[in-house]
Amino acid sequence: MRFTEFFQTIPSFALAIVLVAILQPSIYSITASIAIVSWPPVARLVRGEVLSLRTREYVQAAVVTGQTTSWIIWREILPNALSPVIVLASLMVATAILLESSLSFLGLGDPNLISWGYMVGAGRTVIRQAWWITVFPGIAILVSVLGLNLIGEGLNDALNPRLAKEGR
Amino acid sequence: MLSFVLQRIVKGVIVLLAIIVMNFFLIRLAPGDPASVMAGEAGASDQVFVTQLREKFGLDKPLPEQLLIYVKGVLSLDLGFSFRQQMPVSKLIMERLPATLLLTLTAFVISLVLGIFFGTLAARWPGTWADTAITVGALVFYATPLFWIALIAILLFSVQLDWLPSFGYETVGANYSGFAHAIDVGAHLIMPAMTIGLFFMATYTRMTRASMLEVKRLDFIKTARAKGLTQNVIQRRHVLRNALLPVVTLAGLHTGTLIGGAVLTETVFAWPGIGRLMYEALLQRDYNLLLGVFVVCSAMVLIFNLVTDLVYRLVDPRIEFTT
Repeated sequence: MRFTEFFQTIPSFALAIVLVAILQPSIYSITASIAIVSWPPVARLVRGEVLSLRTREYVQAAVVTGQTTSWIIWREILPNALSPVIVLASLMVATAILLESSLSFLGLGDPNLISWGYMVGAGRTVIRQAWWITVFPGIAILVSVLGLNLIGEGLNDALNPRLAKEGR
Repeated sequence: MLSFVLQRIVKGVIVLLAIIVMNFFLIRLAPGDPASVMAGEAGASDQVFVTQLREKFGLDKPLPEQLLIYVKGVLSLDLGFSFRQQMPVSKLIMERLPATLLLTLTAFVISLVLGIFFGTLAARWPGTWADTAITVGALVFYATPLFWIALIAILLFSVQLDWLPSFGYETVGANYSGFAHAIDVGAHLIMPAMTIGLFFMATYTRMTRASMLEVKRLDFIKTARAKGLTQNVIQRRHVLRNALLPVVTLAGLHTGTLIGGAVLTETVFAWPGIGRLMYEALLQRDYNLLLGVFVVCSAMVLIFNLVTDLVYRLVDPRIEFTT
């Protein structure tokens, strides 16, 4: 977990900027950078879930029946640890959209693919004459991110009422 | 106490070393070998110059030795030379650092104060229209891209209403001094600081509200009520104090994101801080400067984290100093 901690200490957006700039902007480098800066919360969450599940009785039952460790992890623990991950995933897609739009806004988008963030960035120079170029893509980002967050909250309430209040 | 602080500092230094090592390998991922990149940046690319550069920066030595040279350099605050700006990287960064610190710290205070205030308000009367309005507002701000809020703020308060200056740190050529200068900088600071502040305010509002509602259900609150304390005293002395802990944790973890926010807002408002510097380095593909800013940002986050760890102790005396 020290490794995860290390990644959580680094300012994530700055790391994403550095990675995309060095690997040259393309859809692959952007995807990879967002993935590299977003994985630590998942690792922490799964670790916590697995640690709490491993003391459950059905896991001990599986140990008693002589199952191998890897079998227990794959067949007993991981399927049960999945639902908070699904919730986190929808929230992470929302964060990823914000990250990508921020990168494109700074001019680090894939030059062959125009994204909302790029549109906002491009409209910035003519904001006094043509405000709509900036305003509407921004609203599009806002609505999608808000929608995904709401889905995440809904899933959270539905899948594990136990964690409902914790959010992220 | 002292040994705790020392332990944390040692841990921080180890993380910092790891970041420097990562940086070393990142610059080697950049296209072309460092010497020819530097030669290109300096505007000359003949073979003699490249060889000279190689020798000067020890690039003809084996990799581990190069790493050692690099780490030593960074630790003595030598972050290399920016050929684009014709200045040492560390000097460029030090020039810009105060502006960023002013911006991020102001934003941090604004977001924490407003966030805790609104969160408390919402948790005081859950289910009422005030609670709903605050919750919806927080959700919307949480989903809005920072750079877009910044642009909308410029559109509204600078272009339409003409209340606030839209860019920069101070009015160019005005030569204010003393109090007038502070007012001028303040006017320039409001929009960038509020832009970052609003986004984090949303997070802290949600967190404070959730955490206060949780504490409110606990038994000692019932005891306090049975003792005949007024709602306000219970809210302030018992609920809020206990509910603040997760908020402080979150605030500490967020300092990295705060820096990311600074890059975006400084870019939009032309605020002369290191975020803006990072953007300039990006535009010019000045990798030395880019990675220099990155190392300094990481170091800032480390220091910030250490401070929050100590604030922890003030908020909750139950926490022991262990690592």
